[in-house]
Amino acid sequence: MRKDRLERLPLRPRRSSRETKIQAIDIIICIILVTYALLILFPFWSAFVISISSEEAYLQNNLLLWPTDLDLSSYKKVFTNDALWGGFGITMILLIGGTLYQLFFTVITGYALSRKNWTGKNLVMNMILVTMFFGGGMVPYYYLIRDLGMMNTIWVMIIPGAIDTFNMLLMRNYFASLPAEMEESAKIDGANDIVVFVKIFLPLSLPMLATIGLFFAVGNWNSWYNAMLFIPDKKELWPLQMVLKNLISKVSSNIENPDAREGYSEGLTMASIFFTIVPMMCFYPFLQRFFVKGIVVGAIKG
Amino acid sequence: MKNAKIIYGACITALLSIGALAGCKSKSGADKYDKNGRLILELKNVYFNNWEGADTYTETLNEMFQVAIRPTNYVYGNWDEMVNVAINGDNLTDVIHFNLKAYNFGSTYEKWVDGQIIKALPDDLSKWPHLQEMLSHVSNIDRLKYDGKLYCIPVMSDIVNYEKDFSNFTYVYRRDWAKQIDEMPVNVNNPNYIPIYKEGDVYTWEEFNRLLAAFKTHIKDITGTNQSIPLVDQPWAFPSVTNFYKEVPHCFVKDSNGKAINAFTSDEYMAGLEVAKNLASETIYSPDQGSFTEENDKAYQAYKGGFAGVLYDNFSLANYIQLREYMRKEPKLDDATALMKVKGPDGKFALEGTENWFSATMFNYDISEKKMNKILDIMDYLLSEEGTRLAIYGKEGYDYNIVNGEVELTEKGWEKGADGKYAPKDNGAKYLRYMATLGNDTKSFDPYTDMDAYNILNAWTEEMKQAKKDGLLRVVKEPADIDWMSTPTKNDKTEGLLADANVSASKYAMSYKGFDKNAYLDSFKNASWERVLKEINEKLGK
Repeated sequence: MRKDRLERLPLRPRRSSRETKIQAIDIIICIILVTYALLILFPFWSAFVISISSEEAYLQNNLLLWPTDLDLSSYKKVFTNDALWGGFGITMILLIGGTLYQLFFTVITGYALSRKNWTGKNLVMNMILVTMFFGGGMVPYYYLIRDLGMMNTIWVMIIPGAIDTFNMLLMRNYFASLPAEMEESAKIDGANDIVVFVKIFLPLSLPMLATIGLFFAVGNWNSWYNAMLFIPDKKELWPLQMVLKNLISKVSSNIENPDAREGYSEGLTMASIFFTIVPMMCFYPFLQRFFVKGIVVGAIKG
Repeated sequence: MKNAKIIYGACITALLSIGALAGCKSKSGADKYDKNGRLILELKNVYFNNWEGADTYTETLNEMFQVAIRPTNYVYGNWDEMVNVAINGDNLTDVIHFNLKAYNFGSTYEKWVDGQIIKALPDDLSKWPHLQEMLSHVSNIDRLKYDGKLYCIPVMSDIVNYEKDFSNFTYVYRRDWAKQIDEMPVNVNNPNYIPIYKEGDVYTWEEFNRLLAAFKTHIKDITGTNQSIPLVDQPWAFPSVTNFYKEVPHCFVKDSNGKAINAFTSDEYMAGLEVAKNLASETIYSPDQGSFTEENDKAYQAYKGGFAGVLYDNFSLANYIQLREYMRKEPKLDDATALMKVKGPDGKFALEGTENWFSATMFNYDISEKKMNKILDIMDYLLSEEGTRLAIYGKEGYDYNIVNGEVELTEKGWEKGADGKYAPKDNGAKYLRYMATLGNDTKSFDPYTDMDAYNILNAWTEEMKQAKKDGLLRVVKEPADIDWMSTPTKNDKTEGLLADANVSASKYAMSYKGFDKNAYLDSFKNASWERVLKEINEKLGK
């Protein structure tokens, strides 16, 4: 091909003037999206600014846009607070141990229920499925936990959550979407069911594992309600969020208190909140690339 | 297929059986011992918030009474819920602590007695003389007895000054600002100007209103801020100015015939509410006062932030010390946190009446006699002179010595921080004493007490006591026969009615759109109010 001919050929399709021109609608959409993003980001920013500003500056103006009268004493108090570190330790146990435990049971159940033609599959499936729609209720659940002897133990925050039905369904759908021929060929080569699961299906499921792992991890990180109900008498087993709730719980001044009220300032509250959310905020972006993919692949096959 | 169904059935039956067997457990409250053979005591109290139970003073008590004390606490914000969850879940500790009030005792305490949830104290308390002495001074104690038996230990506010029957719900104000306003050239040069600051902080109703008006005009000039709130109330107390008009603090008042009527629609309360409405419309109250909550703490923030002139709150010693701690950067702390004594239009001070106790310690019905006796032993000991010294000073020979009959603190036991104050240390004895008393009897010699705050508050209390003797203090209190009356609807509804009434009062005072006087009065025309009043009047024979 001649050189002048090559030069005449456009390397990429030319855009029409209509395409390159920024239209009014683009600006409106842009403004809406930026506003929406700011609305989401502002509470975080505001909390951060309050946490590093002096109490006097905050009291003068509750709506701080920029750090005023920089004061890191709130963070100093947070980082030297034994209760928060204790809660952090418990939450890490829940995060790692609880998440692995939940992943294990959810994944093996999902896998088993994705396999064809085993006797009782539908019965098991329906028994699990029914828990999505009908619960026993809070009071029976409370009595069950109490009578199983799990009150005031860390197990109450781990064991009952073995299988999450929704996530198990995602897993099951994903496994079911993988070609059955892979299993058949592996079995022809002599692999048993466990080998097929561990060496073939599990490696192909990493996006899904990351997705539901993230669900579990976020759930475990934020958990406090079970601790409030079932661990009322052992503060040393309270997870981080429960410790935080206890710390920032404001005492109504018409409750007589023999000791001075906790002088928990707004700065300290915000610093504590940051202490509890930053680790998860750091963790989240690394798994986010799996996140959407995992949801989609799990949901396409019914 | 048939075999498979049998197998499923068998499996499900087996699972259900295991579940049912798991439900069989020993009854709670059975005596348990630690590895040293000491009786384990599980004690729960809202004031144990900062106590882990592993200090040397707790160990002293453990050794002395051969027990293993296991303290836990209720979270302040969920106190009532946590007690109710434990009771309904049959998961009680040996000792519980509840925010018992006249208005909730029928729906809680009375039911717990009937339901065998809580255990009666022994009839003969002579084995515990200090406890017995304390209980003999508890106000309205007979209301808490069933068949002559007492099922709780009311936590007394002050076991020495137990006659005090009024609360510390009052005003603190910026005395420094009042003085500054009087000294402003514009006022000094005005021959008609009447100074607003009153020596001794005693204000007549007219003077109080004049001070609020002056604060409205001048706070911004004094502080240089763009915010100004002459008067701010803690949300639970709004509108505080009604205290100078109303006859009772809560729901029910008697009319001239002795018949119970709704206190929130009485002429006296409505007069007070109109005053509050006027103050709000003149922006003496902040336009946001109606949206203040305990959680957002805006009332305190306004005062701490230096743009509120007068604050209404419960100034117990602990709360007053805390306020002074918040205001510590003020050059004249006493002037910035001065207690104000306001006389109402009738020329009298008005303070809300109260029992001389707050909350109650109760015992799990299932605990053994041995365990209960041990707990009572400990409580009695902590009310004795020796026990009080352990709770306040620590251990003799280590924390303090007795020299010439006086307590002398030791340096090794009482280290001081950089601020010159005694470094905090955990003392379980002090926390355990809160099961019987809030400890106001020890504040005057507690090394941790801010004595400046104590002296100011004590002087205020003495002044109010004297005013009461002189007939110049009106104690705003519900008639005891109604307050402690138990009827089915009253027990269940009073708390809700009170909360709704406060919301209505707040809306009316703040002139919420569409909430005029008729709407306010209509908010009380409902079946609950009618039924409760009917039941009360039937019992009163009216």
